[in-house]
This record gives sequence, structure tokens and C-alpha cells, in this order.
Amino acid sequence: MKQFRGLTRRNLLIYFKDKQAVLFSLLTSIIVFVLYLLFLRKNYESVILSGAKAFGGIVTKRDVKLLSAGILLAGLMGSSSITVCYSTLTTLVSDRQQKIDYDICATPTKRWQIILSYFTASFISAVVMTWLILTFGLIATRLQGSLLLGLSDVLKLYGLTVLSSLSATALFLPLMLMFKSTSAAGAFFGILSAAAGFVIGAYMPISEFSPAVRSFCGIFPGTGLTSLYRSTLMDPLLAHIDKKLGGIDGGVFVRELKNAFYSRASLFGRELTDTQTILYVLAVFVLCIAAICLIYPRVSRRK
Amino acid sequence: MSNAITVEHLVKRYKSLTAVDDISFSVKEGDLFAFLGENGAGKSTTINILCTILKKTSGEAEILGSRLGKDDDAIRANIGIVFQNSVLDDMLTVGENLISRGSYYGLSASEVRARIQPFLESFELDQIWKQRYGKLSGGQRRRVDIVRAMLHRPRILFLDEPTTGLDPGSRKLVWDHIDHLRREQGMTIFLTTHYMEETRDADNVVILDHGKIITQGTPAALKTRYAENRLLWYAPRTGENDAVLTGRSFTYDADHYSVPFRGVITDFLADHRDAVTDYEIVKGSMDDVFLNLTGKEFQI
Repeated sequence: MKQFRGLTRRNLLIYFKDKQAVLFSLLTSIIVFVLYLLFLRKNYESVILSGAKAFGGIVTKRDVKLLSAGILLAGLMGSSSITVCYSTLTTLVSDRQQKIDYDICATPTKRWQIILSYFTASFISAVVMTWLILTFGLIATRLQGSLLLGLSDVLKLYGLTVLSSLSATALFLPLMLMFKSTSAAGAFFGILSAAAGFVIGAYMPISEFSPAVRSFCGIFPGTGLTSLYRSTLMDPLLAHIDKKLGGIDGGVFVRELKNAFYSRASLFGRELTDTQTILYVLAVFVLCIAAICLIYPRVSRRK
Repeated sequence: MSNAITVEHLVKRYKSLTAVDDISFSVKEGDLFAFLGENGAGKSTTINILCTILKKTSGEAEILGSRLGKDDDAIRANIGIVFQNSVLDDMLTVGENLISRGSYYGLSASEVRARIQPFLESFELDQIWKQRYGKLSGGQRRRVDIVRAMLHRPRILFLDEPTTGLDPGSRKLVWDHIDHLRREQGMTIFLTTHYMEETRDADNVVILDHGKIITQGTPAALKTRYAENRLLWYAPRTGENDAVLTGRSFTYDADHYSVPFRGVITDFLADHRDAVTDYEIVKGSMDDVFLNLTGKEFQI
């Protein structure tokens, strides 16, 4: 175990000691935040307010602001777990390119310890960074008002970041095993940073896309997980609003907001429930682990 | 003395390319063994096979009594490697690098610190312990690489072109440290190098060309067999002096005649003691051995 711990610690140090790498690994989250400050907040608030107008002052401006902040926070967490995992895993590619893996392979460490250390370091980095974002996000939101989150909701959010980090690490590791150079991995990161925000619905709600694009986005576990972040963050407040409305709209207002901002995973055109989404994410995770088990022995230096 | 390494009919093929072509040799415990050859001759491939990084295509090898391909973990625990290129992490400090590498051998941070105590002063590690590895000079990096390879007290140290790219001062420093390790710990050293003079103190030299061993022996034996000594006679070029060298091939460079010869030249010097007064005898070099064997200048 000392070997595994040492390998993992080294991979973590490489990520966390490179301040620029840490900053760039949050690129999508930074873009989401900047877009939010520039115009997304205004858009979200105007969409929610236009729907709420019919109910007079029942839905307050504070409610709208909090809902908007919830959408932002879900986008930040969804994107950070994806890009932090990817960024940490690029150590695997640079180790191969610089032949640092020769040095590791010539020690008595086991092959499984080597690959598991990359996996674990990526997972831990993503969990730490996403927890930081979540904690700061919850504090910042609380300063504006209450999202009415219970302890179980908060624990669920922290738990979802764990699932999200596991899922993203398992998804990207087979990809990293196939990259031959850091420049190729870097080029892909540029595409990923730009695309991830759209795919998980952080830049704009997926409901804005065509059904075909929505189905495509739903394939990625990150999309369903971001939707789960959103529902966990917003459901208590939406339920409270629905209660305040007292059934005068038959629940249409809240349902429409969910349709607009939640972007559930869908398979064969059928939307998945929260439980089904988690099961889908776990199924993709298992598939990715199987892919790693197949690919790694073929590409590992040590045969 | 028993063999530290025994290699028999080792072959490594990459599709149509045969990188190592049926080589056999042995290295005695405590020896300095030198592996020479041009780029692409198969030196690093052989080292990587012996260090369990690459899989051999065929053949057998035994390292300190452990069979390659069967007892690889035992081999890994007993060998240290200084690779051609630095393989430590630029972003981490020297200390972080050494502690993380030590952990691969099951050593705790305090055990690593205890083990590098003997090197702290001689390798000037205490001054650079907290510096980032990527910010060190070439010589400093090499010293850290050597200490890294020694952390687990290996019995065999593989040095794959350890001084390539270093200035002469750093090269000398690195060799002083390696010599010190050999003397103090009786370690077996397996060296590949581009610098022929670095093989001067080797107990045995193997020369590879296109994956095959073309000769092996002690430096002295190889020089006797494949290199000519030279008489450098410092005198002006005149017809009279040319006549002294009648029957011998020679060249004239700037201020001296250069006369290759094999065996002894004392008879010639005795016969011409009045004419040949200012001279020196230069022994054949390993460069000459390499040139004569491969027909190629050694390329770096």
C-alpha cells in the first residue's frame, strides 16, 4: 500500500503544485461564471420573472435570484468535476511522453497500483475542487437568502460530487490511455472546455436545443449529474414556491421551470428519473472500468 | 567472483526491426561494465529489457540469481537506474521527488531521509533539497538522479548515458560520485556512454553495432587488438626527416609527424636516437577501437 499511496500522493502534488494547471482546469467553470455575470443571470431571471408575473408578488425577486444562483452553482459543479478530472489525468500522458513511466515501471510497484494511482489522484482532485466550489457556492447563496436546503439535501450534493468525480475519471481514463502526446491531450482539453459547458447545460439550458441534440447530450453522465445538482439545489425552493402559489396554476409554473432548466439524461427518447439517472451513471462507470481493464494492459510499458 | 548479470541469446524485435540480435555476455559482481555503440545500436533497449521495462522477444537473462520474466519484482528491488533523460518531476522539489520515489520501494519519508544522509554533503543535496527539480542545473539534476537511483540500496546500478549533455566540469563531478559509490559500496555498474574516455576504467567493454555484439574485452585488450599506438615526432618537415621514416606510413600535422605503429617501437627509437629527440607516444584510444571495428566515427 505504501507504493500506491506514494504514487497517488505524487500525482496529487503534480496537480496541486502547478497553480496555472489548477486555474486552467477550472476553465469551463470560469467561463460559466463570467457568462453568468455578463448575461446569463439576466436571461435566467427574465425567463423566471416573465412566468411569475401572472402571480403578482407571490414569487419574489429574491426567489428568482436564488433560483438563478442555483442554476449557476449546478453548472459550476458539473463542469469543474469534468475538467479537473481531465486535467489531473493528463499527468498520465506527460509521464509517458517524458518516459517518467519507465522510472515507475522499473520499481517493484504493481501494474494495477500504477493505473489506480492515476485514477485515485484524479478522483480526489475533482472531489476537493468541487467540494470547494460547492462550499463557497452554498455560503455565497446563503448570504442572499435561503435555498431551503435540508441537511439531507446538502449531504446529497456532496455525495453527488463524489459520484460525478468517479464518473468523469472513469470516462476520461481510457481516453488518456490512448493519447500519445500532451499536445494532443491539450488540444482535446480545449475542445472539452468549450463543449462541456454546452453538453451539460451550463452555458444555456439544454431545453433550448433540438430533441436530437438533447438526446446526444443525455448520453454523457455529466449531463444527468448536472441535472441532479440542479434538482437538489432548486427543488426545495420550487416546492416552497409551489406551496405559496397554492395550486392556483395547477403546478404548471414549477413544472415549466423544471422543464426549462433541468436537463435529464435520456435513453431512446425517454427521460430518466433521478434513480434511473444514477443507475445509468453507474452503468457507464462500469463500462468505462471494463474499457480501462482492456486497454491498459495493451498500452502499459510494463507487459 | 560470481556473475551479477548473465545474458544468453537475448533478442528483441519490433515487427520487422531487430533492435537486439542474439547477444550474450556476463557482468561480474562489483565490475564496471561498459556498453558501447552508436545511437540505435541497441544499448538502451538492452538496458530496458534487463530493467524489466521492456519484454524480450527471446533469450534468457539472470540478474543476481533472479530469472528475467519470472522474478521481475526481485530484480526491480535490486537495481537502480539513471536514465538518459531526467525522469523526475520538474514541478516537485528535490525532497518531494526523492520521498515519492522512495515510496515506490516501500520506504517512508523518514527512511528516505535517513538513507540520503550519506549523500547530503558529498552530493550537496542539503542546499537544493527544497528547490524545484526543474530549476536545477544539468549537473545538479544528474546528482539528484543518481541519489534517486541509490535510494533503495541497489546492488546493480544501470547508467544509461549518464553524462550526455553535461559540461566537462559536471561530467567529472558525476564520475567522481560514481567512483565514490563503487569504492564505498562495491556496487556493480552497467554503463552505456557516448564518451569513449569514460570506459577507460571499465573492467569489461562490449561494443554493439546494429544490435549485435561485435567485440568485447578489457579496454587494454581491445586497444591492443584494434587500435594503433602513435609516435608523435616533433620536428620540421624536411626531406631528411622524411627519409628517417622510410618504409613507415606517416602524416604531418602542423609541427609533428604522426606515425602509427603496433607493438613496440623501441628499436626504431634506438636506431634514430640522434634524429628523433623530441617525441611522445600516444596509446591507441577507445575511439580508434570503435572506428576500426565499425568503420564509423563515434556519433553523439
